[in-house]
Amino acid sequence: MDFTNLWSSIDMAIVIVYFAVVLGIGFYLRRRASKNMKSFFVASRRLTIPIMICVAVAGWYDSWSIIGVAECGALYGVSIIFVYVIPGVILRLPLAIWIGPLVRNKIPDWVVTFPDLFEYLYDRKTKLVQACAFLPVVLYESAPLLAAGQVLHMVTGLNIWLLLCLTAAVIILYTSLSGMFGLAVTDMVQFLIMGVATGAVILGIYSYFDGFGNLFDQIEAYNPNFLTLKGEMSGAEMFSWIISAVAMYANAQCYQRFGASKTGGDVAVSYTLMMCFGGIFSITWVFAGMAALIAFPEATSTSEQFWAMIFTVLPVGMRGLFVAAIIAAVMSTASADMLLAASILMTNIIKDFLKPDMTERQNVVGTKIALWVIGGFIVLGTIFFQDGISKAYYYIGGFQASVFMIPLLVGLYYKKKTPAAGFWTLIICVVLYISWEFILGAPFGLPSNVVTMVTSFVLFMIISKLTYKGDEDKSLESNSIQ
Amino acid sequence: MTEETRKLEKSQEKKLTISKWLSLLVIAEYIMISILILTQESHFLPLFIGVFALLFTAGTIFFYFKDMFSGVLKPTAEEEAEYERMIEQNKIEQEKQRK
Repeated sequence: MDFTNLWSSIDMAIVIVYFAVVLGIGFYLRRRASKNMKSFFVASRRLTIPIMICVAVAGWYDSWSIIGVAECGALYGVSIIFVYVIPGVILRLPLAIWIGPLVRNKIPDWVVTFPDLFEYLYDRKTKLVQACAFLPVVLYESAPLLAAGQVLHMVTGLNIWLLLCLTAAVIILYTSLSGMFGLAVTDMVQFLIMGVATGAVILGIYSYFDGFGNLFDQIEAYNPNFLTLKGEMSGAEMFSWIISAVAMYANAQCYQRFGASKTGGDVAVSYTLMMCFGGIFSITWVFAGMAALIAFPEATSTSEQFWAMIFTVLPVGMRGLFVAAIIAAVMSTASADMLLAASILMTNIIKDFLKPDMTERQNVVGTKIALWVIGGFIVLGTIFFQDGISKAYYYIGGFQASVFMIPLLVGLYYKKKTPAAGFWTLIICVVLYISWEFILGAPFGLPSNVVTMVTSFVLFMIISKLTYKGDEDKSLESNSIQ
Repeated sequence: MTEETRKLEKSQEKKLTISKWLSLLVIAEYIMISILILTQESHFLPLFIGVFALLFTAGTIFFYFKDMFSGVLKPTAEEEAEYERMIEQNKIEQEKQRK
């Protein structure tokens, strides 16, 4: 299908205005974020509940949450809501009401980045391993960036590499100018655009099918299993979807946002409120995917069905807003991940281990330079994800969750943990994940993330038992409020 | 414990209690949505989703602007002074390096 003839100059103008607005915000807030790393990376720990909601929504919901979830709707029907969307919301509640406030209230002020938290829980060696293992994770952003580039290419017909570089440059520019302060404002713009576009699509679908009753009838006629709890999924498939929902517990962005909030209470309220919205947002896209399948059965792929649906139900102008929403979803998540990776590279690797005499000012400037370098790698990384975002979600998301989750979560609560347990568990699990997935090819039908996570837990507990000597308790619960 | 710390702790406790009630609301919300989807309730489902999404979005936007422009974006006098000091310090350092 050729979508360029459905793309008007009004739509193009909306996308250009969107780019101009996020850049403008970056310039406007650059002074606020340039004082020191605390102002640049965690917005001086001043973000309040509504601002936290916007940064959390815009950070958690990327292009996967729109295009990917819609494609899942077209493949699995409503069952994806019951095995992925709703468990995703419910299983993340403990992160919001217990872990977030605990991390925010009990961490000392010097803990700014994710590796800092590992240093606090274990030691400097563990921090270095965690920082080095975390850096490749940022390549996940190549997949959503590619999705944004493909959308722009589809509607404008321009060279995709040019569009990728342009999108990456805008993200880096506003993030490097204003850090977390900039993200707090641009994420609000992105949250608004995503919300309005989602509402417009659902209204368009409602009017296209003349009510949800007709949509339900047509889905049932197409495949009655699409409207059942389990759909056509096997038990193992359902289990793996449910498990993927807990990956957020090892997401560095979450911990950065916890650190940026004003108090632990703000974290708890904002994240639980976000759950009210987040699930609805994803459910909407599952229905959009099913509607696209019914309306355009002749399309060659679920992606083509999706875009045909969007361009049919939305009027001129709203199409531009929708494309801006996809780009917004990509930019908000990518900017946060780039900021994380750049800060980790500069602060936790270069400053802490190679150039300790670096001033705060040099650190902030270095982080901005690192953002451009990392952005370049992310653009190049799009080569690996030409066949879809799900591959990135599977490999990189699986790596992140299975390697970091046990040392982080058990480390927060287990009083008999030891630095040796954190250090060796991280090293062995990095090697195990890579070997199991890429050298052995995940034998015996056992997914790498499950094998790594189980090994991580067993190893951590054994090493802790062997090396614990009744040292000082460093679990966060034992500390007083900072 | 100072008066300010006491106030902060009290406000935190209140927020943590609110979040626990909110999490119950979240669970109830999604149980309700699940029932509506499985029973293919075509009238109440979009209404329920729409009202929830609208209330949430409108509330967030209202309080966002209230907080953002009164507190977070507006630097305090102390921060402004600190920023000016930092600029001066940088100038002195650059001058030293040039010499």
